[in-house]
Amino acid sequence: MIEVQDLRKTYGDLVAVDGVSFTAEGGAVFGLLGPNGAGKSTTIGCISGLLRPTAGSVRVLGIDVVGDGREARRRLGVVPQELALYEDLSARENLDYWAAAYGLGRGDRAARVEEVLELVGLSDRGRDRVKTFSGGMKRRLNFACGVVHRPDVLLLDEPTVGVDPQSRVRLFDLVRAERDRGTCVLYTTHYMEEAESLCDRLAIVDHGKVIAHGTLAELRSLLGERDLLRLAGAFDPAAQRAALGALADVEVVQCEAEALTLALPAASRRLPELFEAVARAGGDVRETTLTQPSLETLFIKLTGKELRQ
Amino acid sequence: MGYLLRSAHKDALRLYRDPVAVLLWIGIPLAIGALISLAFGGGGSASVPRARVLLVDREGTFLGGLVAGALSNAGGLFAVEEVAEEEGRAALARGEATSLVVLPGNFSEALLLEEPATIEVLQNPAQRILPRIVEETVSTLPDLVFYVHRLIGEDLRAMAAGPDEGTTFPDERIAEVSVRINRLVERLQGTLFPPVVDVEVVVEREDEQDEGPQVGFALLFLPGILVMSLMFVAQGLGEDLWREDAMTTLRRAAVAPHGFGAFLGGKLLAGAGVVLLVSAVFLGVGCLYLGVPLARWPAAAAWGGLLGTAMIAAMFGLQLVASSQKAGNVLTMMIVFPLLMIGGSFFPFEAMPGWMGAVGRLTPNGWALEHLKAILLGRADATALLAPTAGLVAAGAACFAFSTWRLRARYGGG
Ligand SMILES: Nc1ncnc2c1ncn2[C@@H]1O[C@H](COP(=O)(O)OP(=O)(O)OP(=O)(O)O)[C@@H](O)[C@H]1O
Ligand SMILES: [Mg+2]
Repeated sequence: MIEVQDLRKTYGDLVAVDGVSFTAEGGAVFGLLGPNGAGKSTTIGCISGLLRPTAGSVRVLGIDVVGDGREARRRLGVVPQELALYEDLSARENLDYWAAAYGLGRGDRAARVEEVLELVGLSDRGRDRVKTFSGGMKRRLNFACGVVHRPDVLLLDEPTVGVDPQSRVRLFDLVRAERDRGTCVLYTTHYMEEAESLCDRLAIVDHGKVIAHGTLAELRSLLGERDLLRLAGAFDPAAQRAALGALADVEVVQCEAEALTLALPAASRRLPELFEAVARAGGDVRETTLTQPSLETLFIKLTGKELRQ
Repeated sequence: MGYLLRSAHKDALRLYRDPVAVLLWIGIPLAIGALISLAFGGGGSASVPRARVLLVDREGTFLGGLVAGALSNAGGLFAVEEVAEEEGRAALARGEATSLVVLPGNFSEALLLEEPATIEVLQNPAQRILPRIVEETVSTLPDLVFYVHRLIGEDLRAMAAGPDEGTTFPDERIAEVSVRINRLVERLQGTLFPPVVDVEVVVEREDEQDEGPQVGFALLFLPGILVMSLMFVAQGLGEDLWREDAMTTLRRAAVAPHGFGAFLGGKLLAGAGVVLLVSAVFLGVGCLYLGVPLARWPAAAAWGGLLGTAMIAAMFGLQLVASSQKAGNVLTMMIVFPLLMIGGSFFPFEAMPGWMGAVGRLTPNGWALEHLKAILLGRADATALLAPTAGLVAAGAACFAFSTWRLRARYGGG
């Protein structure tokens, strides 16, 4: 279990994490979803003890990571965003080294290393040096190094970056297997689909703040089953706001000279009515995008921007 | 303990798989050492050199000053004095100087107009090494003049004759000369001719004389070369922290429960293995070659290993003070090279002016070098080495503690 309370981390004037709180339970995958620079890695750094929080508290399995760092680290597994591997060593040697770093005894290590190699599908490449591996293989080994000591809490920082679809599916299976073992998994990503398919609970972060959190269902309900309609063209914001605001069940999410974003139920059936209203207010539509409710639309609704930009 | 050894094993394995780096650290100083011993013929019987060069300028022009300057710049090995001829010959006869260089009366004319001339270099036969360096250095001067002549001799002669009375050279004339120089440089590139200005070496006295304690000349260089090698190895191993930083393995190590103590300790241990191996092999070969009793070898190798290990710890500290790999390299090089230079690795203390040798012996590497030399010369027994060994261990431990502290401060974790 991970309990993060009012976590704050600043670098000079820059606030990387700004009062983040969440609780991730064992036997579940908790997702931290956010765009580049949202503060995901910084949060993970504070939980793993790599970074000292400016304020707030982080407890892992009830242990304060600042107060009793060593004990907390013993129970933690970290799969960092960057590949942290020795390129000159073989996969097996890497795993054995990190297992030792996590306190596994010599006798215990050999069997566990083989087990983990098997798990990530690298058994037949165990003797090869890491520098001869493909990107996806390195990702899998990076994952293996984080779980080799059977951690109770696993922190995964964008583990699928630069990975092909097959390797990604394989990594997902590995994450689910860890979860089913009872591990508390914290998974950061900026891929909506990953969060939707993998995470039991989620926190959406932006600019160091949690802007929404809950189960997938709870987050979806925030949208109220409404579709998102985005219009690009030339608009008079004031006139549009007045014209569209008068329509029933239509929420104007964003209203600018070149972009309009509306949230409304069953938008596809109301398109003629909407276009007419926009045209009457002097608008000129060049492009229309209709999106069904998803984390993507929720993110757009909450921040007025797309997640991946 | 298990993790410490596992860490050492990991780094030893990484070094073993990147042998080029290790060979370079060891190879560069060895190459320098080989060159030095080739130049001086190795051998353990030459006497301690004292380099006092007396210069007699029969002509008394500015060229005499040039030669004096050239000799003075030859690595700071010589103290050059201009003297009157009789006085110089007398001093050499009394064995008070290394060499007497006599520039002939037609020296400047000969150089300018390419006429034969003879520079006499009279040697003190009791000394073997430095007189040869003087001779070599002097002989480069006419070589240089000769090649300049091959390139622009005609113009040089014309210029030497000077412009017509009361005028200066017109611009066209100067431009013409420049063009010709360019052409000549192109045409004569790579063409070598023997110089016409001879250097005749006259060895004044043949009788050998005793010069006090016989210290093998190569033995003056050998420990210095080892210290240089150890310094380079330490420097390279210190840089390994930046490789671990780039691979982000340092950050993974930071979040592992064992923390940095054993991580860095393992790296130091692996490095200690390398420097001990380097010392043992280098000194083993050196002892055999120079006829140093092999009984002195284990202590000397152990001292080298200990010194190298302390140096690695110091290099860790320096790299961890620097904010980037580049800054770390500049910082360590700014410290390493002056230390090597003055600390007796490039030039033995015995060949330095007294004050410089005294300062050099105070540098950490110079201090360690003197002890190494003492061991090799059989002048240091076990009890005399106790305090220096304790000092070296303490210094290394302090550097290591500082480095671990810096590592924690920089990368967090344990
Ligand atoms: N060491 C540092 N010094 C200064 N600023 C930093 C440092 N590390 C992170 N930041 C800043 O903190 C903010 C959050 O960075 P962080 O790496 O946590 O984002 P992220 O959500 O992991 O992004 P990404 O998806 O790109 O990995 C960014 O604005 C970043 O520039
Ligand atoms: Mg990140």
